[in-house]
Amino acid sequence: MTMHENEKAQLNAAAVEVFGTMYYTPIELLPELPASDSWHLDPQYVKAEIGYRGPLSAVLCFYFPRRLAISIAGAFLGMAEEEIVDSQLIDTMREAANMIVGNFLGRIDQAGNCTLGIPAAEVVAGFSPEAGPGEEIMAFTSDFGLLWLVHR
Amino acid sequence: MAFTILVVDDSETMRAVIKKTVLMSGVPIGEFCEACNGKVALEILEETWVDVVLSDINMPEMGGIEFLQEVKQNEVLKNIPVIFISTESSQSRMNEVASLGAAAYVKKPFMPGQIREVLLEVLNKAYAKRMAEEVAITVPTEEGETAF
Repeated sequence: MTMHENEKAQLNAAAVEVFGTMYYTPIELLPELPASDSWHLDPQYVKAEIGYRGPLSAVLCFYFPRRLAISIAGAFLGMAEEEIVDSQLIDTMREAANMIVGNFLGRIDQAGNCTLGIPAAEVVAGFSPEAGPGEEIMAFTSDFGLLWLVHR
Repeated sequence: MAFTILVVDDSETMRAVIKKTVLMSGVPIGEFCEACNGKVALEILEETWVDVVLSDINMPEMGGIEFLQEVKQNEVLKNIPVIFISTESSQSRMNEVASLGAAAYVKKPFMPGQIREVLLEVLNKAYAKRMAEEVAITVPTEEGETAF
């Protein structure tokens, strides 16, 4: 399932608002995926997944590079980066995904007919930005590597 | 006079951020209670006097809407103001929680000032009489000190 351009614009606006307001970290959705030789994949990601259902339905799976996750968790919690443990990274990224998709849903479903799911997150080794059947992959730029998003 | 505040959110880090935001707001806090969902929040309310609840909506086991309905059906608890802090931002959801008796709604992501503003407004409204009888609350502002 591919997203319409308007949905992508709303998703970008939601992500920019959440990152700017809560984490003081600028991000921007790339209009197109970068060429594979410039992916610069990270060894570890925090994967955070959340879905919504109703007249509109989808699952959005974010892959935050660990270094980005550490930076925003540090800003969010007011902690030194070296003090942050994995459980805090997972919880912060789960909440980030929740806020982005909740904000996005508020933009595309003003009537409130859709129901937001409960987010889940985990630390994973590596990520391959190759879309499977029914998936679309997007990428956001950040100062701490590319934030990948799989939409299905 | 110091207030007891209950924060209900399934995210431990979000609870910590809300707690920090409230503590920085200048509102005098006596005790801070935390719950990871509505069910746990109700258990706390049965045992602890709470002045105001700050609650998420989208939580496992018992979400914020069901929690609010339980509070409003309870004769002892029904006057405790419940402020929602949630990602769910559609107008219809905000109308729904207002009709159920929520005291206020703050959309995530939020600026710290929004929490302070709403909290003071709700506490003033709910406890105006009680506060008038006590020493006025002074809250630091950018311009100086403001008494409530």
